[in-house]
Amino acid sequence: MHELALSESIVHTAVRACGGDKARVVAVGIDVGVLSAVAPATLEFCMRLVLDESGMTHTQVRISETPAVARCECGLDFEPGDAFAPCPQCGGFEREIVGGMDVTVRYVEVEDEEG
Amino acid sequence: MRKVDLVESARRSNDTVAQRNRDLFARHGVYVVNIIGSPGCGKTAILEQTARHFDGSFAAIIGDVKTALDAERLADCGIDARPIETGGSCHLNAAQIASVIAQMDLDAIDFLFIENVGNLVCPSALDLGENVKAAVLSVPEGDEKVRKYPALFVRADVLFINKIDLIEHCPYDVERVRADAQKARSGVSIFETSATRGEGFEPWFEFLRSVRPGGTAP
Repeated sequence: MHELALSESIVHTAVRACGGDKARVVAVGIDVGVLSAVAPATLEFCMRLVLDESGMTHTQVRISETPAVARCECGLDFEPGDAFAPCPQCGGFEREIVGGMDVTVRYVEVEDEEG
Repeated sequence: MRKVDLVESARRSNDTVAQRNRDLFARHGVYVVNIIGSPGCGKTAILEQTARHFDGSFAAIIGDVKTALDAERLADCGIDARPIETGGSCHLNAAQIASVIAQMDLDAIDFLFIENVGNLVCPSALDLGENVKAAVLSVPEGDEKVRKYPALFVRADVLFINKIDLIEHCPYDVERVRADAQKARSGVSIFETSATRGEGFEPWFEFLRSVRPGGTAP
């Protein structure tokens, strides 16, 4: 359960992206990899908690789950159905997981400054 | 309204410190193993066997929610073992490691073993600056754990199947565990051990000799 600490880090990143002006953060887009060991529903709950505590009740949270990506030694990049699926091209298991392991702040929507 | 595109890891603050730890370990020639497994799977017992029978200089950092009991067990084996009491957190982070290693003489050791808090989920995703993650499973836990916790097993370069002496008492398919682990991470080094009996450790010691700074990587 490290979603709360992650949420604090994400909110910090979002606020920094709009020059420290919390009031202008309209939405935060977050990608959660399926192999990140982070539960999207729990992250959403914690994000709401941290945003509300920070006086950012107006900020929306948009979470997308991103698939695992494996790179096979035969050269193919593919999305394995799970961590145990073989390469669909060569049938081998000599592949490395190269995506779907991280939690990424993908974008921040920022209200334009007035005037 | 404008959209600011970022691709920033939410773990960036941890990863930055982890990389600093890694650079420090490399400068001092220390090989670091991050040991991850359930409570009671035998992480500390594996380190006790290593401390008693492996011919190398090492220290340990032991994470627990509460108490320094495991660190005391290792100190009894005559090694420098530092406890980190997380007070509730289910995993160690890179900053906790940084503050402990700042107090250690890294030139005096070849290996640092970091025993993470007993948990198969959260510790897997947080980089501490280690060279390898070593997962520990034990026979009584059941043979489906690799399937159930893929986030750990796609990252672990080493897997212990511990309490192997209990295999005749438990329905446990070692070949299934080995096959699942190889599918999750091709090339994973697997060691079948009984830490209480001190059996099966020679291949693990051979692994450590091969990765010892100045040795040949496996």
